[in-house]
Amino acid sequence: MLDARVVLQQLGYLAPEALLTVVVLALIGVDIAVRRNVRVLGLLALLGTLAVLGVLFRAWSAYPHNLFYPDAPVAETAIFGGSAMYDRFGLFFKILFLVAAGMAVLFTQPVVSRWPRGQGETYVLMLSCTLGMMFMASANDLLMMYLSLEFVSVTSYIMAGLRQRNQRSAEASLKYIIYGAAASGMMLYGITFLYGLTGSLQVDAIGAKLVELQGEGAGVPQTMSLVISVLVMAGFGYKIAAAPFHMWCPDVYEGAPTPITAFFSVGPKAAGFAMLVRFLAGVYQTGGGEQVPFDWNLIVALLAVLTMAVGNFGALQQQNLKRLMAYSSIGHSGYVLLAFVAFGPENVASAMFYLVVYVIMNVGAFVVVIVLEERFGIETVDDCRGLGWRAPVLCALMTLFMLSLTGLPPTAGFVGKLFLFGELIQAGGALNITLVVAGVMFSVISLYYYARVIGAMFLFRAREGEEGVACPAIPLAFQALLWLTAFGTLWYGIFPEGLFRATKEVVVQGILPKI
Amino acid sequence: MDFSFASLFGSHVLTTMVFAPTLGALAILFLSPKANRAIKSVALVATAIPAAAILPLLKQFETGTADFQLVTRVEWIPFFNIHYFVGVDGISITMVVLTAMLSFLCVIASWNFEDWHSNRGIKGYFALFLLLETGMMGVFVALDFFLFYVFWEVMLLPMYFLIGIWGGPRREYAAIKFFLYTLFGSVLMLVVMLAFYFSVEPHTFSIPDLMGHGSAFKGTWWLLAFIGLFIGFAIKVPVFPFHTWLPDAHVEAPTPISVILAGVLLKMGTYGLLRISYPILPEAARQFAPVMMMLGVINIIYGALCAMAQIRGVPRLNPKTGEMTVERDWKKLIAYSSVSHMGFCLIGMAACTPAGITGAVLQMWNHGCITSMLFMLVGVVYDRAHHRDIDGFGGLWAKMPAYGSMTALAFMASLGLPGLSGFVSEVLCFIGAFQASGPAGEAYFFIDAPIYYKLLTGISVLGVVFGAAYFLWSYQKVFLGPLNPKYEGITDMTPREHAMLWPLAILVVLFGIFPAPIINLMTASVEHLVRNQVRMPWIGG
Repeated sequence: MLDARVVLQQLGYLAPEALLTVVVLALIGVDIAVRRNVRVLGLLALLGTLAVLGVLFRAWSAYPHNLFYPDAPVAETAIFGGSAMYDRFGLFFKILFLVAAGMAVLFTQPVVSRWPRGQGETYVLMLSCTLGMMFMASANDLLMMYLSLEFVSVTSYIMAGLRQRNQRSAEASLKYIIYGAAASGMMLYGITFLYGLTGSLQVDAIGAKLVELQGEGAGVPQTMSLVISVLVMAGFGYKIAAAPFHMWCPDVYEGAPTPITAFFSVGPKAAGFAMLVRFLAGVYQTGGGEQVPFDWNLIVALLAVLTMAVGNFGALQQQNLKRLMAYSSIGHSGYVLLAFVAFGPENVASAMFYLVVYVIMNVGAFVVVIVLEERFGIETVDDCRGLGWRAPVLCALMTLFMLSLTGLPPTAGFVGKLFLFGELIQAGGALNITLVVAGVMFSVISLYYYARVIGAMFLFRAREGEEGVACPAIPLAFQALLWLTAFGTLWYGIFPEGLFRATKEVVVQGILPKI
Repeated sequence: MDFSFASLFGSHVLTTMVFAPTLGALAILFLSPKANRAIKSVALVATAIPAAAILPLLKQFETGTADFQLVTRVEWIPFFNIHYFVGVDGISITMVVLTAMLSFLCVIASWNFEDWHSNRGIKGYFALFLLLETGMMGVFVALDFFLFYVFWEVMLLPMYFLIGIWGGPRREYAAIKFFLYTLFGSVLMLVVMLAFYFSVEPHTFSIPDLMGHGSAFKGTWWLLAFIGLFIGFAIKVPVFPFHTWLPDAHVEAPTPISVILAGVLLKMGTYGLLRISYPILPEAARQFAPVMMMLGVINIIYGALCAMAQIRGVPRLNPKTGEMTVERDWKKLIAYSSVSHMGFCLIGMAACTPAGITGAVLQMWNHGCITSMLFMLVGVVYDRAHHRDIDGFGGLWAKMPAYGSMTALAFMASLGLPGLSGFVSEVLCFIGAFQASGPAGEAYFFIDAPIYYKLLTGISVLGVVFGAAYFLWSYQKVFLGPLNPKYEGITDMTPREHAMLWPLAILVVLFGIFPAPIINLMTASVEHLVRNQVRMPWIGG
């Protein structure tokens, strides 16, 4: 039974989440108090995320000690009776989410300030969604996983529909809800199977029980395991936009307000991957090398290849920049999924590295897309023609992000892919090597559509009357973000050492015992 | 580590040669886009530094040893045991010198930028050009496979822009085709690179260390790895059937960029084979040699025939307007002649005899000099006439005697006239290939192994005959006969054009008569390489 005192002490582990909740509540209050003052709201949201980020860094360095009760026993990483985990793996992702949220607040501010209403709601929902993501990163039992996933989803539905009196936005929101409901229903169904088989909701307990059943000769039949895997993966696949659960993605990305799209493409996606790591590590692989004989590796491999194919082939003919980025983000989910096929500690580290890099470069690319839409009125690739000669710096930065997304040195995207594919090769085996070859081939295909954007900007001449038109001023928030992400993209491309080590250590100290 | 100023031209001369252009590119970014003269001057200085560094480089280089020299090795990414590791040996030093020299000459060739039809973005042009030089130089000096790969790819983007922005009418198509082809090849290289890294203990990307493990890389997987690497390098060479990007890219690129493409970029493919594929995978190289020989011969003959076709004229359908035109493009002829001449390198390398490898490396150098002259020469007339139709000139000698003589020299060198440098390397390749012979009782492509190489060498000699045909024929059409009245007022070469052609002309004549100095540079390394390949059945153990 849970000891009340222990639970109270363990609340200290939730300090960052608690602070974020306070920030969200404060935002609601301020929104009511100082109606329509976007500046104050934006500033508050930004300061709030920074404060939470500060607490997270404190927690990171204090780990494994409790921030509030430094004397509390530290041996356990499972908290609240095992429904959540407190480890550096979770903290790593929480820091990533907060960085993403902070950037999102920054690039949302100049856009929402032009909206007639709904500014306060945007920040409140965005940070609530971040809160849900934080729970996703530490959730360790299926109930908690489901709840936090739904938390993130529900806030996302509303955010997608925030552009009022806009059909596209409403359509996006509705599609998101319908697909989301179906996917989470499937996932819930899969969870009931797992619970029915093992009588437990905690992922490691489920894994241990499955192994035990196997040992007793009462293992789960292949068909059953296939059904369970597919059902549960539907929920994860929907969140990370993996094919065939990706259908919502292009429409939602196109219809949702662009800053929200940008946020969707990095935050919830990374959270989905974090939760997937915990789920797979717990249910399918247990300590001591015993492995539940599910063919889940093959299922993930299939999903990964399918996702890369859908993302990269789908993007080839896209005209709309946001749809292009949507398919591109599907493709990137496919690359990260590759790491889950081999699923060794190094593979998880490489997936984490790739997600960090992906957040940086994708935010950079999206900020350019937002600027193009907001300041230049450009929404399609063809409209970008000749823009490189009007706004050379902006387009040069876009080139950098596009190259990084393709995976060309000396950018972070290249190092990320190198790490990802390299660890897969190290895992060995014909399947993994084939997957790597598939991965690099899809990278080549991706060059075509990324280069289409670059080419439109620099290779083609502007349309009549547009040449030489001065380019509008770019708000400071955008400029700061652009340079920050560009710097990050280059920095992690040339000096990735620190991040390599951090991801490796996180896996070793956190999730490793179970992989 | 000693990074004093003096060492920049001393022990760190290679680092200076690699990064001086990058600094130049950064400097250019801070100049005003209107300051054409300043931009060009910075570019000139930034390429002059590596060019000037050739002298201290050659002075410090010791010819008697196959070891890597002037080595700098600094830890870069310890997590993956990656080093900034550069150095040269007898094979790479020729390429480093070639790159430094051609880049400098190409800045001179770009001096008339304002007269180009795509006269815009001068800042971007020179900055990207300098970045390109860093990439090229880096590839030739890198001794860490990761570093090699990074430099290899760093080159892609500048080249994409240089073709795509400042190129000819079909520039967008040519640029993206080049980009996609090269990336396709290089990702295969990436996979093999990772396979190398994880197959040796301790894990390393260091090329000299990997060479030490060469004998352990045996079996089907490593043959596949060799083929992966080969495709990556073959696209650059280019080897038939991966050559189709070349005529597009070379023809659409502006003159100086065509020079760089043909003079330096193509050499990266053959250099990669010599630096990485052969020493690290000797076993697979042996198995693959007959295929490479065959591809080399196809290159020689097919390239020559394609070049010849440009004289007769190639009907082309314009996809936009639907009209048929007959293409007789002088530049395309020269582009295809490159395909043919790179084939000589391939047969020399396939044989892997001392003469063959020496011939191949020398051919890389000579082709670099000669084909650069050819592209510059086509550029000279294109700048004046604004077209390159072989039939559209006639009798130009009357008005442009200096240009005519220079072209004659380059053509003669290219078709292999004894006394000029092309002859030496072609003959060495032939001799080398002829010396090779497979084991009795086996057959390659249904040809008895012992006579396989001899037979194919015999066929490839035809390439020289074809070469003479298309060069002399096009010379006749352009320079001889009555003067085309349209070009009554055409002027001969300017001092700038003399300045960019003479250094190459002198080298072509010098190494034609007296190739010893350059052969001495490479002998030790070539012998070391060949000794490493003892598994070639025809090389004594």
